Amino acid sequence: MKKITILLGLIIVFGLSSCTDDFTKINKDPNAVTKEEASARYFITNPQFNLYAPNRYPYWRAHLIHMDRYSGQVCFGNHQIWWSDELGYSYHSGYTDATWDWLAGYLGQLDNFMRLTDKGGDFENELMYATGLIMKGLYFQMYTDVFGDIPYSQAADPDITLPKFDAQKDIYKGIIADLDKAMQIIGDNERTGDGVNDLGENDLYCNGDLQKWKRLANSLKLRIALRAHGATGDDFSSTAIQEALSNPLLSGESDNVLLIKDEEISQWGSACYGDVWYCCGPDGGSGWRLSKTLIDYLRDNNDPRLEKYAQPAEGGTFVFTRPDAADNQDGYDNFFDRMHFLRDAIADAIGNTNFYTEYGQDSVKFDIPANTYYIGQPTRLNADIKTYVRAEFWSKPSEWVYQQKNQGKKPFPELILTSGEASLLKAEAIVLGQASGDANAAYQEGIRQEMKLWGVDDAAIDNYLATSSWGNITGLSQDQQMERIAVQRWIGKYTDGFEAWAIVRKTGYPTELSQGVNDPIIFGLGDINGDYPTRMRYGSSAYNTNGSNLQEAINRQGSDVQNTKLWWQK
Amino acid sequence: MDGQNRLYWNGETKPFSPQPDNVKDFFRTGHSYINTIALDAGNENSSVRFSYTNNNVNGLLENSYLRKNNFNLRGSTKMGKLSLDAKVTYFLQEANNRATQGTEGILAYVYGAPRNTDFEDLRDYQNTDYSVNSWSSSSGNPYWILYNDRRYDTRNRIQGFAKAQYEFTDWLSAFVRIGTDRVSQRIETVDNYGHWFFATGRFNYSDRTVTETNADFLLMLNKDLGSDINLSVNLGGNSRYNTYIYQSVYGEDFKIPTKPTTESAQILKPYYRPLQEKKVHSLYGNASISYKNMIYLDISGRNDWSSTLPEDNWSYFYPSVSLSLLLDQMIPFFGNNFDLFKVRGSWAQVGNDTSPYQLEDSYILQQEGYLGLTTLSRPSVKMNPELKPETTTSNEIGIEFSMFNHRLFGDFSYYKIESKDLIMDVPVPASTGYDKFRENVGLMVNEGAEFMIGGTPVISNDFRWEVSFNFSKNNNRLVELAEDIDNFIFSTTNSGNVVVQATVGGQFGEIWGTVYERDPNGKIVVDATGRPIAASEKQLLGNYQPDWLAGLKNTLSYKNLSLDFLIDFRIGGQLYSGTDAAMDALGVSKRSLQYRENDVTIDGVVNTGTSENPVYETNTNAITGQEYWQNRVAADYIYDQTNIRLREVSLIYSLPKSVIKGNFIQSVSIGFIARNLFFIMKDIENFDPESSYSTSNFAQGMLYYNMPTTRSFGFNLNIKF
Repeated sequence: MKKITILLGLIIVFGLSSCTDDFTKINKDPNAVTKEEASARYFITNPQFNLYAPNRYPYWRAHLIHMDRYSGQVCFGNHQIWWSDELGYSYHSGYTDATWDWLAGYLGQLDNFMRLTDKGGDFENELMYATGLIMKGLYFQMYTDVFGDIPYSQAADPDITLPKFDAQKDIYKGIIADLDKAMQIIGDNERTGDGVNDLGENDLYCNGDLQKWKRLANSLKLRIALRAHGATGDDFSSTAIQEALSNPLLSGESDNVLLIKDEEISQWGSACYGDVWYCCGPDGGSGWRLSKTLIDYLRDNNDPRLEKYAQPAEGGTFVFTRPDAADNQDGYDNFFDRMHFLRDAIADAIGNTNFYTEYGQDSVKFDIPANTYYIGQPTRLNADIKTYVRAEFWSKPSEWVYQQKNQGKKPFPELILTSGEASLLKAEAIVLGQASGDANAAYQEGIRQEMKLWGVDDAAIDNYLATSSWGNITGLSQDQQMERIAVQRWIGKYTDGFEAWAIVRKTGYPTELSQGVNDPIIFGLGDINGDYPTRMRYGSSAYNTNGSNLQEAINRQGSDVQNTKLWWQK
Repeated sequence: MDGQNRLYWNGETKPFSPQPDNVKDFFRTGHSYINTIALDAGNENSSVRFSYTNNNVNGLLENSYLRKNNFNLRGSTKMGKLSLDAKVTYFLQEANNRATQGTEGILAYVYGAPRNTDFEDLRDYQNTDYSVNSWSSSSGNPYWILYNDRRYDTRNRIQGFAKAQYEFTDWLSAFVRIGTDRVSQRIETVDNYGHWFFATGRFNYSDRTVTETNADFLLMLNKDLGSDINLSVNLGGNSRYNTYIYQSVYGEDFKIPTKPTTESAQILKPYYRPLQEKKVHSLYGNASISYKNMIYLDISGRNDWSSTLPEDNWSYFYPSVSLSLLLDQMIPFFGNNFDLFKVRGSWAQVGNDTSPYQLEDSYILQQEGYLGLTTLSRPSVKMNPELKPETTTSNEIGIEFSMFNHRLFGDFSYYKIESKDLIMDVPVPASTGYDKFRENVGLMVNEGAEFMIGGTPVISNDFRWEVSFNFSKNNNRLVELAEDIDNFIFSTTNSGNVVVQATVGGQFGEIWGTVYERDPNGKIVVDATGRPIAASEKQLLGNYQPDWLAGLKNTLSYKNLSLDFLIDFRIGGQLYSGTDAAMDALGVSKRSLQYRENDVTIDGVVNTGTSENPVYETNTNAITGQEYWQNRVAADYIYDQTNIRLREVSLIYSLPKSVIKGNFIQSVSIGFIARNLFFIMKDIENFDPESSYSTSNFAQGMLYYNMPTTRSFGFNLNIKF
């Protein structure tokens, strides 16, 4: 009987423990931060740095492989790099998907900040919401300029799983409306609030200075309006340009909107060029070189940024032997075409061909003085010529650009929108007849600010403006003026491939890039027959998750290939 | 490869010659030893048993091993109507250099080595500046992986229970039981300084402990109601408690290159996961009624309460019912012709919950905030506060028979299993602001048939032949997923050319991949230099699920000698071989010899118009073998998994009783067992399709430098005292 009592006792104990009282309590994650424990300012930092300095995965694939190379400023395809410089000009689904997935996936973090600060949000704050609207403009402009039509008006609506793709024109109009709304909300306010309600140092762009945010919004509005200007069916850019020019733009050194690099953070949190440069052995499987187009403009026009952007080529002596016809018919037939092409490219920098010797029909020698000449690598060289494209022939970026972390030196910051750009945009608007003013003064102020950013001193700037043929635009034809402004904007966008590429697409300058390539013996034509790339293909996930809306966009915009022109280019 | 002296990758000059079998020689013959000792003691009321098993496996790779030790103690005693039973098992396991698979796994640097690589030269895996010594500065070295990096794990598991059972009467008894299972695992992973991907080194050291404790009781009633009817009723309950803790430390950028320690890492990320708990309480019962050993009816019901579900849904009930009829007892025709003829049918439901913390959205605090700032972010999965349990409903009917004095027997069944409200993270377009929504979605149906037929065709005094054949076929359909979502991706290759997914209206495990762009006449479209172009949309190329599986087993015995052999059939199903594709692209496969000496002009067309208005002209541009093999599409590497293999052969000899003297040794048998001997037929040329199998949907249908499957031979000596 005693044993039965024990048994029944156990059953009762069991029965008591089966209640569900503690279920809700044990199902709460102690590591999760709840809204009561959070503040809105803590949510702005991630969407700010992730757009310009995401982790190494997209930073390598989107920023470096695609944007910086499409911009025509950075070249792969030297002998020590894994890829030929055709990479990306031929569609690569993995790297394309990395770019698409990163840009498409970015929205969540920004949307979260906007939702939290919007009316009825957990941390309602209209002024913080206004900064979110401006970041939304920066983001959607970057995103649509890469792909064209993208989900915009129905994006971030939790009730719409499969949003429609909007036409680029409507996205541009939407961004301008958002920027106007943000500027109107900010009005004369200086800060978003007191204490934790002030964005303060969590705001990496403007340190909580709302008037700087407002000038950023207005400068972005000018950039976008000028890009839309003249496109088919553009009916809003003139008004927007004029409005922008009648309000303050970013101006002066303290107004540059930059992202200071975190020099300690893990590359899987936020990357810098150094993370890619040093990733794979000394000088890396990714030690890129600067383009001939960029180096030529800087060197030939005595631009003091040359030594800030680049290092002289390492040089050295290299002998290349003509391949056996039996082993490599193509290599045998085209050996001298390729040698002469390289000789001529280098001769442009050195000024003669004394460095080059041919030994009969068998071999050639390149003997390039060490660390003397700034030599740019021609863009888009193919895989066949790659073995002859010695890394030592060409100028590396300056160490400031690929500065490694944790070495006590800061890597060059990410460019968001600079005072120099704002001033050059103003010059462009005046030359286009969209505004009145002194175009040359705006042009020169733009160059001055862009040079100051790289630490060029005033004397060197004054000298350049006074003596270089690219130092002023007075007395030139409108086309010439447009070319100079475009090229100066392009040079100023060094390390910001997104904008540099867009400038070439919109303006056609530098012509050397926009005209594409056509000699398959030297160049990799990609799967766009040598055309200059005008967009990237949509990512596989867009096909997989939102196929019918994507198809509608393709029907409107044109085939999903890398040489279909975007709306603002038409 | 002409054998002439050329510069070799390590700076020496060597004859440029192939190294036959260098890949084969990289592997060694693995060995496995299993030793068991068992001790029993006891009398009519009590018993104790102890056993110890030691299992040492030296794998195919050098410096790799798996060591297992297993201790078992069980005791039981009976004191009148009360019986006690308890067991404890301790399991210790240590593994070094479990092979890493996939594109960056060890075999990528074995299969991918240039054909003139002498692997002995790779043994000197490190340069003086700590960087890797290999055939190119960005390539790995397999000996570095085996000797310089670290992949080490240990596992400690303790399991035990105690049970008390009491017999109230001869028809009523009950037990209570409590048992626990605790698994602790330590994993050490180091990529040392100089590594080809992690030049400054990185490590991750982690400890995790998982426990499950169950307390249950059962009241058992078994009574004959009259002479023809038997009733058996069980009523019980269970309380399950699961816990999980985890801590790890990740470090990178070593100050002292040879020290992968927490002190040496410039970047350190510790992580601690506090106690995570889950409780599930259950009450259940079942009743079985049988009539004259002819008709058996079982009914059961169970209710679970799970802490992982929201209050409105955390209680859920699921029943089952089954009926068996022994026709040989009921109908004379069957009784006259069969030893046994049983038909059965069943219907059963099972509910399933989820893991803890899946209901509420919350924020993530970054340990490493940008510029040291406090930063918060939102998770990429949108949680669901209204999750419901998953439900699986199974229907099955079957027939089992035996005749001619059990010389012929068989079993046939047909089933249909419907799973719905599956708790999944459904990928959504990123424009929603999230990567995934957690939802109860979908309806998946598995429908299939299985049968087995066997018999003993020959029995003579000394000789006996037994044979059996089994067959199974499963059809799987994904009927619906979430609204607006028509596929669910399991896995994608690095380059994105192949995805394995489930598609609504289709099956689990579909393989979609790139195909060539073709003109309206079906000709391959090439680019201006003559290289083929991949079409922008992937196509369905296959499915990793087989059409059907079968096995044929024969046992032939003569006196004390017995020979068994088993033939396995796996018919249908496809896979994508990334290994073949990568080896062709690297030019290390036999296949890639084609076009190496002479270029190839693809029989295709080139578009000289625009993408909107194409003009196709015949291709005249030759490309090199390298360009050819590097520009192939996924469709070129889809293989059929069909294979028939001799799975197992065993030959066992038992010593005749007459030979064994005395009572000390009761029986002795000696055996030879060989497994996975050879293929009778196989479609895929270079690999065993089985090396791609996994129990997870997420790791099937693709081959990427998987470890080869092994053929094994074993001897077995069994002595009973």
